[in-house]
Amino acid sequence: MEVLYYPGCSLKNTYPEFEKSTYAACEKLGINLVEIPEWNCCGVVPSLATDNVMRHLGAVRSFINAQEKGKEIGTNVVVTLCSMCYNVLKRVNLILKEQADVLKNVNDFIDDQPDYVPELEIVHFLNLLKNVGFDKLKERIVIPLRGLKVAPYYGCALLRPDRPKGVPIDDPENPTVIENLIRSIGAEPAEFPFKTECCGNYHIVFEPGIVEMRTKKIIGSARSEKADVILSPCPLCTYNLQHGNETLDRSEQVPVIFFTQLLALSLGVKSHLSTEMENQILKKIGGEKFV
Amino acid sequence: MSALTAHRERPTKEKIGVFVCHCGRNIATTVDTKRVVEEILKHPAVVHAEDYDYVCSSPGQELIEKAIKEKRLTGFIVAACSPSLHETTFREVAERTGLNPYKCEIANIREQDSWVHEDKEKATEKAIKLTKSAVEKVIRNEELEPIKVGLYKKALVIGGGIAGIRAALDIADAGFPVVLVEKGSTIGGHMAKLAETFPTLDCASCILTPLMSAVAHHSNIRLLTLSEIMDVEGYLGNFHVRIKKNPRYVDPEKCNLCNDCVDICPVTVSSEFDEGLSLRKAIYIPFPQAVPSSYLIDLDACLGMNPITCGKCAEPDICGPEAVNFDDQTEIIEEDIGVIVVATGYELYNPENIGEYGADKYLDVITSLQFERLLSPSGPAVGIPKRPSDEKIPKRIAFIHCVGSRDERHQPYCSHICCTYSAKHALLFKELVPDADIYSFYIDIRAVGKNYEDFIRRVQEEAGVHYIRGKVSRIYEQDGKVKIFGVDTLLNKRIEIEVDMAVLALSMVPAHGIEDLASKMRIQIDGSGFLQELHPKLHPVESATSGIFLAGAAQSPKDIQDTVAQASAAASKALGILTQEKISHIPTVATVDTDLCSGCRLCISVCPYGAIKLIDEKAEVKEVLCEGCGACVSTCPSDAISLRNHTDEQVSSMLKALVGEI
Repeated sequence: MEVLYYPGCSLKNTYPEFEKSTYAACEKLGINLVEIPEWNCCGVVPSLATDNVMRHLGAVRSFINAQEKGKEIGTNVVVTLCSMCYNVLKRVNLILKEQADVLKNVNDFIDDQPDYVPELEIVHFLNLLKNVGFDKLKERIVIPLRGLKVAPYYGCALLRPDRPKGVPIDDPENPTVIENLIRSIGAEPAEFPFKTECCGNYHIVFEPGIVEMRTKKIIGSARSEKADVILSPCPLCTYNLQHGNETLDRSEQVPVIFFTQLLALSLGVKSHLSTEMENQILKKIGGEKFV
Repeated sequence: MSALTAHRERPTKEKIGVFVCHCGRNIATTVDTKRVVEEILKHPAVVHAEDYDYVCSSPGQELIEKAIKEKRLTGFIVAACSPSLHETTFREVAERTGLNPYKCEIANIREQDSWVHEDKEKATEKAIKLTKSAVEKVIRNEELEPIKVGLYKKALVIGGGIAGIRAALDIADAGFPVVLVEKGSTIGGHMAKLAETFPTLDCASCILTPLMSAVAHHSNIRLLTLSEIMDVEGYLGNFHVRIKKNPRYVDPEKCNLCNDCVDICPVTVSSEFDEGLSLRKAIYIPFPQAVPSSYLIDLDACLGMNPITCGKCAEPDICGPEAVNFDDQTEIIEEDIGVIVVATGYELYNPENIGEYGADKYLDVITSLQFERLLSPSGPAVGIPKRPSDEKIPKRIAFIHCVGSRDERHQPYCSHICCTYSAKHALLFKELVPDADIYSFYIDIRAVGKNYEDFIRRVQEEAGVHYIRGKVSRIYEQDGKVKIFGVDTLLNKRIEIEVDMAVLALSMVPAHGIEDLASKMRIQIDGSGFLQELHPKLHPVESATSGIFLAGAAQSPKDIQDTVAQASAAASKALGILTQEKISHIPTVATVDTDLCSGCRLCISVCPYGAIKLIDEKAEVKEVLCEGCGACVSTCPSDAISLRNHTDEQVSSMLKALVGEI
C-alpha cells in the first residue's frame, strides 16, 4: 500500500526516532510511506488561532505538492504522525472541501502552482492502523509485549476541537484507539483517567511551572495505575511529559515513548528506543531471550 | 377605534364587514391599520370596516356582533393572527349572531405579515392585499353545516405511569370504560421507584400504590400489561386499535404470591426495578406492590421453556394453584375506541454517552434513579445508601446537575426536575448520615414550582449542602476514591475534590419507541423528540390529530405535580368528547364530481388520511376522514375533485386580489 506522508518539523528535528520507528514498522506492514516533496510548515498555532485563510496557505501548498505526487503513485491518502500537524491539515482540508469560496480564493492566490482539487484524505497514522485492522496487526506481531502495562496518553490535538465536524480521530471524551493498539501488540492498557488531560502545551516556553504542575499529575496518575510506560502520539506532549519527568525523583518517573516505537519493537524491527529503555521493556515481558 | 361606512353602489348582494386587529403592538407597529380600513372600504362588497386593539377580546367581539346586526352583514373578515389561533373564536361569534360560521374568514396579517416584515409601508400594502383576498374568498363561501358522526364511548390510555393512571382513573370515575395499555409487567412507572417526593417529602409509595390498587379494582378499567400498540386506524370517536399482549407465563387470577417459585428458580439476573443494583430471579415480581399482583417469567433469562432443562417452578408441589403456564401465548386484542390519551413517559439519558463522567466504568458513579433506589426504604440498601463498590456508607457525595441537559452536545433543553430532586437527595441523605459532606454542582438553580425555592433554601441553609456553581469536566476513580474536576465560577477557581460517590442527574429523554408509536397514531414529534402539543397555550394537551391527547413527560420533561395536572386536563378533554352523542367534523372537505372522475386512483395515493376509496371505479371521499388539505384536488388530472369553500374560482379571485388586479 502506497500512502503520501507529511512529516512536519518535530519529526525531522527533535524526535527523529518517531519517524524512524514508523518507517521501520511500515516496512514490516507493507505500507510504503512516500514523503511529500517540498512540504511546507503546517501553520501550527497561528493557523489554529484565526479563521483567516491566508494563515492556511502553508498547508495548502503542501496539499498541492501531495496532490501532484499522488497522481504519480496513485493515491489520495496523506498520513501524518504529529498531532498538531494532523489537526491543522485535517481542518484546512475540511474547510476547503466544504467552502467553495475559500477554495477559490486560495487557488486564485496561489498562481505559481496547479489548483488544489480537495480530494485528498488526511489521516493520522493511528487511523491508518485502525483501517488496516487491529486484528490483522495482531497476526504480524513477533514479540507480544505480555505483562507490559501501558498508559495511553492522547493529548488534545487528535481529539479536539470537533470544528469543522470530522477532525477528532475518536470520541473526544473517551477515546479508545490507543488502547486497542496496545491490546493488539499484546500489552495491557492501564485505566488512565488523565489520558486526555492537557499537558500544558506551549506554556513550556514562558510558564514552565504550569507544564510541570500538569505533567506531574498525568505522570502520577500513570504511576498509581502501575504503568511501565506512557505511550504518546504527540511530539509536544512528549516533550512536556519528559520535562515533567526531569522534575521528579527517578522513582516517581514513568518513561514516555512514542506509540510507533512500541509497535516497531513488537513487530521485531528497530524500535529506535534507547538501549536502556528497550532492555527494560524486554526484561519486563520476560523476553531477555530477544535481547 | 374608528368606524367608517361606505356609501357606494355595490354590484354584489354580499355585505361584508372587516375588523382589523392591532394585536396590541404586534400588528399595529408594522401595519397602518387605519389605512387598511380606508382601503378595504373601497371594495364593492365591503359595507363596514373598523380597527380595534384586540378584536378577540370581549369588547372586540361585541363590535362584530353590533356590526352584523346593524349593517345586516352577510359575512365578515377578521384581519388578525393565524386562523389556527382564533378562527374558531370568531366563527362562534358568527354563529351566535345568526350568521353561518363559514361566512367568517381570517386574513393573517400577523404571522404572515407584521411579524416577518420591518418596512411599515410595504407591510401595510401586504395587509391590504391579504385582507382583500380574504374578502374575495368569503363572498364566494357556501353556508356549510358541520358533518355529524357517532362515536365509541370508550377511552384508550397508553402508558401506566402516574400520568396514565391519573388519566385512566379520571375517565373511569366519570363512568366511561377505559383500556389502559402498559408495555411493562406492572403499572406505576418511574414514580414507583422513588423514595420520597419533593417539596413536601411525601413518601412516593403512599401516594402511588393506592392509585395503582384503584386501577386494579376499577370496574371501568381494562388493564393490559406487557402490551403494546400494534396499529391505530380510524379517526376521532371511531378509532380501531390492535394491541399485542405478550405472554406473562403466570396466570394472575391463580397466582397467590406464595413466592415458592422464586425460591426454587436457579437463575439470577440484575433487577430493572432496582436499576441494576440488586438481583432478581427469572420468575419474579418487580416489587411487592406491583399491579397486576402476580409473578411473571422473563423468557430471556428462564431455562424452563424446555421442561427437561428446568421447569421447576411449574411443578405442582411448587406452584399449588398451577398458575405457571409455559404455554401462555401472545394475544392480539382489538378495541373500538373513541378517544386516546398518550402518556408514555420518559427515560434517563444513557450515561455511556457522556464519556468524561465514566458512569459505565466506575461503580460508584451512579444515576439519580439508582440513588433514588438506594434511598428507598424498600430498595437494595434498605434505606441507608451504600456505595455499590464496597457497600460502605459514603461520607462524601457529589451531586452533578444538568448531566446531558442544557448541553449542545447532548440535550439542549432543561430537564426541569433535576435541581429540585438533587436537593431532595442531598437533604434525605443528610438526615440519614448527619456528618456527611455533600457537594452539589449546578449551572443555575431552576426550582420553578410552588414552594420549590423555599425547599432549595432549606437544603442550602439548614442541611449545609455545599452548592458550587460550575460544570464538572471529568469524573474518575483512582485509589478507591471518586475524583471530580470542576470549576467554581463564583470564586473563579478550578476545583478538584475527592468523594466516595458521585450521583449524575441525567437528562430526561422521551421513552424508547416513541417515534414508532407517534407515526402509527399520526401525531407529531417536536425537535427534542417529545410529543408535540397542538398549541402551547390554546391546546396544551391536544395532539394535531383530533381525539388524541397528551399527558406527562411524553410531552415534555416535568415533575409529578405538573404530570398529574396535565393528565387530569387530558382526561377532562377526553371526557368532553365522550359525553357527546355525536361529534362534529369540519365540512370543508373534498367532493368528487363522479361525471368527471376517470378512476385513475392518483388521489388515493396522495391522500395522507386514507380518506378516499374507489367505489364502482369512481373516487369517493369518506368525509369524516378528510381534513381538507387539498392534496387530492391539486393532483386530480380531470379536475373532478374540489374542496368546499376552496374552489378554483375562489383561489383564482384570491390570487387576483393578491397580485393587485382587484
